[in-house]
Amino acid sequence: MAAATVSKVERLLNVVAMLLDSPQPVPLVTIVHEVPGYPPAFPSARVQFERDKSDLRAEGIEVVTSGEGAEARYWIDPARHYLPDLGLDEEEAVALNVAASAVRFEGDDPDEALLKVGAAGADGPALVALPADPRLPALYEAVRARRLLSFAYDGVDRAFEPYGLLCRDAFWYLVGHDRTRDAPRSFRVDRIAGAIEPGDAAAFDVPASYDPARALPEQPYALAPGEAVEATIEVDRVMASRVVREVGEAAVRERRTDGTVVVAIPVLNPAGLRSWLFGFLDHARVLDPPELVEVVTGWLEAMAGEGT
Amino acid sequence: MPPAPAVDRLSRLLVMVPWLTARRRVPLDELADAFDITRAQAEADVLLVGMLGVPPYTGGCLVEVTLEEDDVVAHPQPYLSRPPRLTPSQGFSLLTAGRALLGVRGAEAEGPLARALAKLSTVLGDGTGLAVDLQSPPALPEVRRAVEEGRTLHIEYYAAWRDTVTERAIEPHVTYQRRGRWYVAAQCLLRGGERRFRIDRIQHLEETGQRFEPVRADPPDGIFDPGADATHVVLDLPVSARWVVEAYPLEWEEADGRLTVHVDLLGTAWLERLLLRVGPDARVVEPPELRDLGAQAARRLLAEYR
Repeated sequence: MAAATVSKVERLLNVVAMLLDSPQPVPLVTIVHEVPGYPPAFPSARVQFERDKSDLRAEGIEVVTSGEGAEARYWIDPARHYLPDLGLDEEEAVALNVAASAVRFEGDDPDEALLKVGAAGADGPALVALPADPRLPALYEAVRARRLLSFAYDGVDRAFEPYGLLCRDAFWYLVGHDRTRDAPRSFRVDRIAGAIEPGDAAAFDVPASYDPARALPEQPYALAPGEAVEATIEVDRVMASRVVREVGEAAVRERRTDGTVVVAIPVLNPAGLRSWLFGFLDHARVLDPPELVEVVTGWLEAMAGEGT
Repeated sequence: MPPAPAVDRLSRLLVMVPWLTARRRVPLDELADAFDITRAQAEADVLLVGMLGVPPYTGGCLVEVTLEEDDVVAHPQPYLSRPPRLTPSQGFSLLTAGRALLGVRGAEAEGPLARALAKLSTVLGDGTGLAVDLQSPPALPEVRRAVEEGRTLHIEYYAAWRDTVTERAIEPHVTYQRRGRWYVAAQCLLRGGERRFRIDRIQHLEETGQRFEPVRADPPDGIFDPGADATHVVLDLPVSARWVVEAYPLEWEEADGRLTVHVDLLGTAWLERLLLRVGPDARVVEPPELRDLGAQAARRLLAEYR
C-alpha cells in the first residue's frame, strides 16, 4: 500500500495493535514492512518510526525497546497498556457518570475518561467547577507515593513532605510537613511558581488519621503559628447569623435582644483578624483585648488620614 | 469544521473500539453523541476502525466493525479490545469528582458512588490524602429541594454590593458552585428577570406555599454580569494586594511594583471592604468621586470605637 493513502492515525493504531498483539518483541524491519504507511526506504522508515514512538508516548502509550542497533526489538506491554476490567455494574457506572458530570475541573471534558470506564459520558454542564492546574496529578502521585518535594515558596527553598491535597475556596493547597522549617505548612499550589522536583518514594510517614481537610485553618485570623489571644467581637443583627455560622455556636458569649451577638475567637494573626473583620464593614467591631483594638483603629486612622 | 489533530483522534479511536465491541450494535447517531463528534466524523471513524488490525490485514486479522445502514455493528475480536488505562489527569479528575460528591453526601457512604470508587481504587488509589471541601452553606439543601420541586421561596438576602438586606420572592432554577461559592439562579418575582444569588448570603428563607413548574436550567455562563448600571472603577494597589486579582476575575496589569485593577461596581460596599483590607496604600484612580471612599469608610468605622 502506498504511504500517501494511509493516514497517520491509521498507521499509529496499526503499530499499537501489532505491538500489543505480538507474543514477542518485534524488530523494526517487520514493523515498517508490514504496517501500511511507512516509506519504502529503510532509513526514512526508521526516522518515521522514531517520530511515531514519540507521538505515542505523548499519548501515554509507551513502546518498550529491548536490545540495541540491529538487534532492537519493540513491544507494548498489554498489562500496562490496557485498563484492567473494573467490573462496574450499571448503577455504579451511572453514579460515577453523575459525579464526573457535576464536578469538573475548569476547562476539562471528562468524556473520554468516563467512556474508558464504561460510563455513558458527561451529561449537562458542570454544577461545581474546580480550579484546574496541570501539576495536580503529579502532586497527588507524590502524596500517594510519599515523595519528598523540593520547590521554592515565598522565596524560600523548601523540602516538603506532602501529606495531602486540599481544594477549598477555589484554591488547591498542598498540605504537610515543611522539613526546612520543621513545622506543618500548607502551600497554595498556584503560588508555587518554579519547578517542583519529586524525590524517592516512601520518603516519610504520614501521621496516623491525618485529615487534609483539617490541615488548614478556615479563618484568616487563625493563620499563623504561636499562641492564640482570645478576642471578643460584637456583631450586629445583619451579620450575626453569618458570623456565628463561621465561628461556631460555642464561640457565642452573649446574645442581645436587638439581635446583636458577642463572640470570642482565638486570634493568632492580628492582620488576618483585621482583614476578616473588615469583611463585615460597620456590622462588627473588636471589644477586647486593647492591643487588638489598637491594631484595627491604628489601621483605620492611617486610612482616614489621622495620626501618623 | 477543520479536521481534528491526529493525536486526539488516536486516543478517541482507542476508546471507541472497545466501546463499540461491548455494545455490538449502536446507531451511528448514538456513537456521534457519546463521543461528541459530528455524524460525518463518526462515519469516518467507523470506516477507519474497520481497516485496523494486524498483518496480513485480512479476514480474522482485522477489527470487525462495519456500518450497516444507520447502525454500527461490531463483532468480538482480540485487537485493541479493551480501553487504554486512564491518563494521570483523567484518573485524578474522576477521583476528585467522586471524592467531592461523596463528601457532600456523607450519608451515602455505602452507595453506588462509593462502590464505584472502591473498584476504581485498584487503578486510582483510594483517595487518601485528597480532600475537596465544597462547603455547602446551611441553606443549600432547602434551596435544592425548592429547585427540584418547584417551590417559590421568600428570602432575606444580604446584598454585599450595597451592604443592605433585601427581601425577595424567587423561583429557584438551578444551584451551582463557581470559585468556591454556591449560587442559585432564580427568577426574581419582585424585580423581574433572572438573577443570581449567593446561597451563603441568604440570611433567612421560607417557602411561600406557591408552586411553579420546575425548570431544568443550566448554570449561567460566567460568575458576574454587572449589566449596564455598573460604575467602572480603576484602582491602583500595591503588589502585596495580589490576592485581590487572585480572588476575583478582574482585569488587571502590573507595572513598577503596582497593580492597576479594573472593576465594574454595582455598589460601593464591595469597594469599601477591599480598600479597608488593603489599607492606606490603596488608591482609587477613577472615578474622581470615589477617590475619598476608603478614608470615608475608615472614619465611619472609627466612629464605632469612639
